[in-house]
Amino acid sequence: MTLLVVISVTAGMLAGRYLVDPAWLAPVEGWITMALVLLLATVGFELGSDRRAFIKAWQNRKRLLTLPWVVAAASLAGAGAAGFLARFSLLEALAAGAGFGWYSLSGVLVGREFGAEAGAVAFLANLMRELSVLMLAPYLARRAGGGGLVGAAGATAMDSTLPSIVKAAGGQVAVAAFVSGAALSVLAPITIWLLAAMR
Amino acid sequence: MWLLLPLALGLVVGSARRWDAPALKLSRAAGVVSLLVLLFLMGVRTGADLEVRVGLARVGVRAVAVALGATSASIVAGAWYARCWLEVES
Repeated sequence: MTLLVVISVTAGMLAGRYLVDPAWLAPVEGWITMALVLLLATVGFELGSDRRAFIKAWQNRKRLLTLPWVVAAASLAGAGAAGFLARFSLLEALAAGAGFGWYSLSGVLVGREFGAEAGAVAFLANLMRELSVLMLAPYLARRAGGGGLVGAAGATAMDSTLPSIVKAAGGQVAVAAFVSGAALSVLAPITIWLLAAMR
Repeated sequence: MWLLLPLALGLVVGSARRWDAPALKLSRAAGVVSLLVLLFLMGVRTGADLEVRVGLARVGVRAVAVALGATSASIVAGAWYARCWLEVES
C-alpha cells in the first residue's frame, strides 16, 4: 500500500510539473473534493459498521479531548526548536508550526501576518507534514502506533488524512483522529493570530 | 466543515444494519481507489503550483526544518499520550 501511495503522489507531482498547465488546475480542485467526499463516506461506513470502536471511544471521551492539546504543544515545541536550529525567527517558526498540517490556511494566515517568506515556509512545512502522513501512514502506524499517527496528522486528521489513518491503524483510531483533527483545526488560526499579536 | 456530511452519511448508513462481508469489501476497495486518486490529484496540484516551485528553492531548508521538528515532536507526544492514556493502539 505504501508503495502505491508513493507512486500516486510522485506520478501526480511529475504530471503537474511537466504535463499540466496551471490554467487546468481549476477542475482538479473539484475532482480532489469529489475523491475526498467518496473517501470520507467509505470511512464513515466502515466506522459505522464497527460499533465496538465507537463504544470504546465514547468511554474514553475525556482523555480523547486532551490529545489535541498535547499534539499542539508538541508541534509548537518542535517547530520552535527547529526554527532555532535553522536560525529562523522563533515567532515565525512557531507560527508555521501552528498550522498543525493545515497548509492552505497557515500559508495564507502566516503570509498575511508575518510576510511572504514566512507564509511560504508555513505552506511548505505543513504541506510536507500532510504528505508525509499520507505517504508514510502504514510505516508510522507500525512504529509509533495510532496515537503517533494522529499526532503527525495534526489538523488534517479529521478530513484529508483520516482515511489513510484508518486504513493504516484501524477503525479504533478513527474517533480519536477526528476529535484531535477538529480541535486542532479550531486551534490553528487562533494560535497564529495570538503569535502575530506577540510580535 | 461541510466535509463532515459524507462522513456522517457513511456513519449513518454503516450503523443502520449489520452489513455482510461483500459490502464491507466493496467499501474498502472504493476507499483505496479514491485514496490513490486523491493522492495523484494532490500531487498534480502541488507539482503545477508556481508558488511551490519558486518557494521550494528559496525557503526549502526552513520549511523542512519546521516540518521535521513539528511532525516528529507530534508523533512522539501523540504516541506517548495514546500509550499512557488512550486505548486506541492497534
